[in-house]
Amino acid sequence: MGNVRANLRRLPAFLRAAIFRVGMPDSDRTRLKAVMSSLFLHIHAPKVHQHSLQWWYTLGLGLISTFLFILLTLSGVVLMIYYVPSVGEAYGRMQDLMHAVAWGRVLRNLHRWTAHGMVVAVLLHMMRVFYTGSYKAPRELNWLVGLALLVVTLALAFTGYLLPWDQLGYWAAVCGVNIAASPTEVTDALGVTQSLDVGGWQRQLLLGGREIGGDALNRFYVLHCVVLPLIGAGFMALHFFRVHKDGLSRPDESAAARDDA
Amino acid sequence: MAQADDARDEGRRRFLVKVGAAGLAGSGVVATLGTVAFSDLRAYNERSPVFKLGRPEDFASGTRVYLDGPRLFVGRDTRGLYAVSAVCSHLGCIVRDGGEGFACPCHGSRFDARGAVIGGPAPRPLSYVALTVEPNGLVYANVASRVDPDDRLEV
Repeated sequence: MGNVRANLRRLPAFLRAAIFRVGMPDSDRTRLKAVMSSLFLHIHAPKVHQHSLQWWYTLGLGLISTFLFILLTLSGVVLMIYYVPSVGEAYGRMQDLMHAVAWGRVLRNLHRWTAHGMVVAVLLHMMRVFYTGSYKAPRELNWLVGLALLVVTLALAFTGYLLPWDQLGYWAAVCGVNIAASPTEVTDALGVTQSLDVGGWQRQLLLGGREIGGDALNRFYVLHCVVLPLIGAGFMALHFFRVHKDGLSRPDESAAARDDA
Repeated sequence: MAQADDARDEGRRRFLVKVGAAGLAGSGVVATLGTVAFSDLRAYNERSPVFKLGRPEDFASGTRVYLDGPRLFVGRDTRGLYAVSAVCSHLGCIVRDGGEGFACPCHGSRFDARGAVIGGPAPRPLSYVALTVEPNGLVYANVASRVDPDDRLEV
């Protein structure tokens, strides 16, 4: 009995030690140890050049994009509780969210503005990486993974736009799907559309019919809520792993590389 | 003896890598073709491309009206009835009839009264669709069937 009580008394300390493996760090060595033993902190490269840490060098745009994605996932999951992806229901459910659900308007606008923000942040992040030359060796693969993430981000924005089933989203989807079908112009010019209708397949894949209707709305919903976030999360894991392995570039890297050579 | 074993192991590993790569590539091809097939229905639960427009005398000479269901401008000139699709040849928005011609609200394509492109990004003229008179005396349009812009239904 005494043992049980003693164990219970030690439980908080045990838990703290199990979660925070390293106590409050007091030296470079323990600080490094704390970073290495934390899931979140170890995403950063273990060694970073002093110059890369100047705030204006990365502007934190990658992290901002990540946080916006997390915010979008959370607000999106909550919106899914009231949203129904059917032609008869979708628009009314969106209006319910705006007028009848407590915090619904805040949630929907949070999701909407965060989505706009993520597209902007991802584009700015790409420009930063370009202007600092961070796409150069050894980070070429991560540039390509970043391009895939850009496409996933834009596809998420496009598929989400149709879901309120309003005029704006409907006609945007009409235009977008016809853009996806535009390889037909090329196959028509080559005279091979009969046997190799790539544009038609892409259109079919998105619409599940000849025009935008319930099947298209459902496909956009599945893409928006399941397929694209999973693909994005997978590429993000690879992206962060490569950042960890390759380290951050630094302002004087190319000059230093020339000096070393 | 040990060296012979190593060489045999090496050969076996290469063989297994090749088998694995071939299996991965094969299942990738099958999965792609399967996705394409899966995305296409064998039958569509969609409205027919054939629309009933009305009696021939509903369309007076020299006029042109817009019908929302089939998304058509149906008109009559001295030679007979015709139907122009209102679906823009650029990206599929619905064009408006400005009297002198048609204008698309989405990206500003403009067409003359016959549907030929006179401005904007549209790559092709507006399409004309087939009209028929059925035995019940009514005019029908098949929006999936394109005809020459000079074709007229004489009724």
